[in-house]
Amino acid sequence: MSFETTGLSNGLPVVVSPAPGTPRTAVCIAIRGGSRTEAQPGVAGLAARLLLKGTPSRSAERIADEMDRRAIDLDEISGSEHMMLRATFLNSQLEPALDLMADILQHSTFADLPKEAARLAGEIQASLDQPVARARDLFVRSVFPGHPYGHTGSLVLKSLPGLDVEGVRGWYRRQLGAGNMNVVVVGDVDPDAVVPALEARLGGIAPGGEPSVAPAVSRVVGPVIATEVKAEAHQAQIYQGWYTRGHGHLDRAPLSALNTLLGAGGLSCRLFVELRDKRGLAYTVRSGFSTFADVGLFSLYIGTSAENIRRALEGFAEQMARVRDEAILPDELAHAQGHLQGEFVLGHETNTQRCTDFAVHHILGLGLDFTARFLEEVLATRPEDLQRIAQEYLSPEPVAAVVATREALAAAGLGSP
Amino acid sequence: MKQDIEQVSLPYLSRPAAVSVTDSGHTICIIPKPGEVVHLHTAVRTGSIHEDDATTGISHFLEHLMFKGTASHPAGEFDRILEGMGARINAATSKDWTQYFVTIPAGENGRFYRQALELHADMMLHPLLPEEEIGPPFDPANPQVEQKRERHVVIEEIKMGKDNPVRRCFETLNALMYRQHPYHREVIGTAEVIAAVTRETLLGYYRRWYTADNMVTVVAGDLDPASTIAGIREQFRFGAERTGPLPAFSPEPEQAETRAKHLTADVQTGYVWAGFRGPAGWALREVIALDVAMLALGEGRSSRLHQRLVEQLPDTPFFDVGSAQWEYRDETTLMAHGVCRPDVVAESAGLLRAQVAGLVPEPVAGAELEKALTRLEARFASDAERAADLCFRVADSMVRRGDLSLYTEYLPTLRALTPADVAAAVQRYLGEERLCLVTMAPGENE
Repeated sequence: MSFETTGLSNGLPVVVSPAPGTPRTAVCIAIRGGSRTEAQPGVAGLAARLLLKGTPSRSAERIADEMDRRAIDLDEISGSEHMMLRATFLNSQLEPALDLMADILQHSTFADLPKEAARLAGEIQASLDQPVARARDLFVRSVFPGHPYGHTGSLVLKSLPGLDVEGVRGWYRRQLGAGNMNVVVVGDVDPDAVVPALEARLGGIAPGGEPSVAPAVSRVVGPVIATEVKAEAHQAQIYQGWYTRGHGHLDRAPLSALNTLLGAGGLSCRLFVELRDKRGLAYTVRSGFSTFADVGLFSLYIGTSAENIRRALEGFAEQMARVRDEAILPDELAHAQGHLQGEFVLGHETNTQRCTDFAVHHILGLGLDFTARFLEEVLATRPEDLQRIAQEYLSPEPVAAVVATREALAAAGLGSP
Repeated sequence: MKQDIEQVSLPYLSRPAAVSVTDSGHTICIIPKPGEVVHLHTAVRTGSIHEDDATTGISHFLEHLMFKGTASHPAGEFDRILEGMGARINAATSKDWTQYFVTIPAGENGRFYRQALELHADMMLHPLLPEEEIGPPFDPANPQVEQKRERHVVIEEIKMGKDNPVRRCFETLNALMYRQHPYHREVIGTAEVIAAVTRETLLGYYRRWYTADNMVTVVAGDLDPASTIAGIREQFRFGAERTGPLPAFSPEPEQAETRAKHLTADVQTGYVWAGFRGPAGWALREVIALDVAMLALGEGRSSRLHQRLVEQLPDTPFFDVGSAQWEYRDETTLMAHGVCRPDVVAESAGLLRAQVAGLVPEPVAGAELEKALTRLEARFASDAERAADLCFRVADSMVRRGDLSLYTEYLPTLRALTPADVAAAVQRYLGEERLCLVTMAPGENE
């Protein structure tokens, strides 16, 4: 993936990666900050949604019409560490797409807050009707109590009535600054033409931008099992998690390899083979590994019949003991490394995927070459590295969350009937 | 052996696709696409449409069991080898088709692709369906079963669906729409059948439908079409069995009046789903006319449902809305749906119905039609970006119509479409007497 970097007159970094012969162009504009800097749950998410709800020169309806009439796929993405506007469109729509993005980025009024907050509340409620989403919500707020990383949908629901336009707009304005942003273009474009087009539209953004500061994470000491009763459910939803290091730490590579080997590498990974194929406990069982600026989270998930809760927890304990206590075979590590190498190719097939990758890695301070460096680190990982990090981070005392019926929780010894 | 290769141009791709049908009837399509990713895909023209009450769900169960090994590659080897190369492996079952696919980096000189082809063809042609992987039959009412194998995995999938309110609404809608046609059965089937079905039944089903003339193999990637076709022919060495012409089913009797069902469940929101039986999935002009109508109705932020029911309606009960046409072979399914406040589900259903009904007095035309055309055309550019999407679209055309024309003729037909075509399709398929309506509100599960 070749790319060129430059900057606008206000210091806003620009990355252009030409992709000749492709029919659609992708543009990402990322702003450092994200929900980790919000004082109340929901501020960052609501600010991102309100970017599509009107500027002095474009009503919400006109924005929607312009997107659909020109077939511009435009998303607002609210992450823990950043916010992003991302557009993908036919090459012929480059200029109108940049006009639209530049306008909403700089001139959104946020006036539609009450209606959008009500809509967001409804969407969160509908999402929590899904048992797996409810369990994820309980899990994340149990892992990060009192920290913005734990600002889940259920906490946003409680917080929304207290949010106002000034507060949300003020938060957004503090993030917006050329020194806090980037813009990335990937497509069949000429860099010499794109940069002046960006300068004309984004060169007026003030330099600077508030530094991204967040409170420290207070780690919960396990073992903890948070439970929530769902009145009626055929399955129980179980999460377990452990703290690891932030996204710049070198242990990210062995942790990613371990995650692939254990539960994120498809049909051949350990959890899938041991808990699904051999024991028939689940249709969905997996591990996950995500990183934030200051901390990482390694997790396991299973959705299993109500009567299987104990068996599933025992299965998780067995598999985690195995990675701590038994040497990882070189073949198994090589398999995980090969999988991650292939995932890199598959994960960069489209211009949108490549654009997102550049924008996120740059805004997090990981560098535009992060993916290539990370792959090198993964390939240099040794079996003993995996066992070391398993012993260091993945103790027998995780933080867990279980959502199930009252009867199922009681039968598993996790509550009274 | 037939050697004819037909070249077919596809939108937004510089090189034509190559299509070949072998003497045994196996259809092969190669889509040359730049990039390092290859997608390998075989669609079998069978799904829940070929089941009855005693076998409901076995197409999908068989799809799971196809991954359980062959004489050459025991269970787990297929996954281990290909995922070690970075492949994504999966399969899916629907009403008319069952599809198996591998997305993989091509590898040096196509090495990974060739390995994937060998394993994929072996899996498609020589599955063992081992008893020990299926697991012994059991009583699904008795949860204390010790030896849990693939039957239990599928039953977990069934339970997962029952806990999902959106899935429950869709399946209820489907059951309202169909009373006689085999489409009325859920693809995933029932726990009772999955717990009891024998290996012999599954093997018989496999032998009946997994034949050369009932399979389509599609590959997209930076490949030479002629040698890739030759490689696929070499690996797919079929036996003599043939499916022959697919059975035709009596059309579902015409619906004379609105059908409705109200559900209660452990939810905090309200759900409204309106559904209509559409035209045959191969009737391209009508399908496209209804794509346009459904897009104008509820797809995208500027659509009627979004603007009128979410953005502009004072004190709206709706949080989210949408519409879609799902294309099955015998008939498409047309849907409009919304998520709303739980205390006003009936009123919300009325608002949604009114917008669907409004497509007749206020037809899709002018700027609204132009917008729909642009967006539908852009979907083909999006397809051209991903090898997997291209294969899905091409395989879908092969299943629904037997050739690529549903894909290749789509844009020319779309460009020639008139407002009258859209209005005629709306009149014919979206009348109130054809409406099936499902609502869901908080309450005890039924």
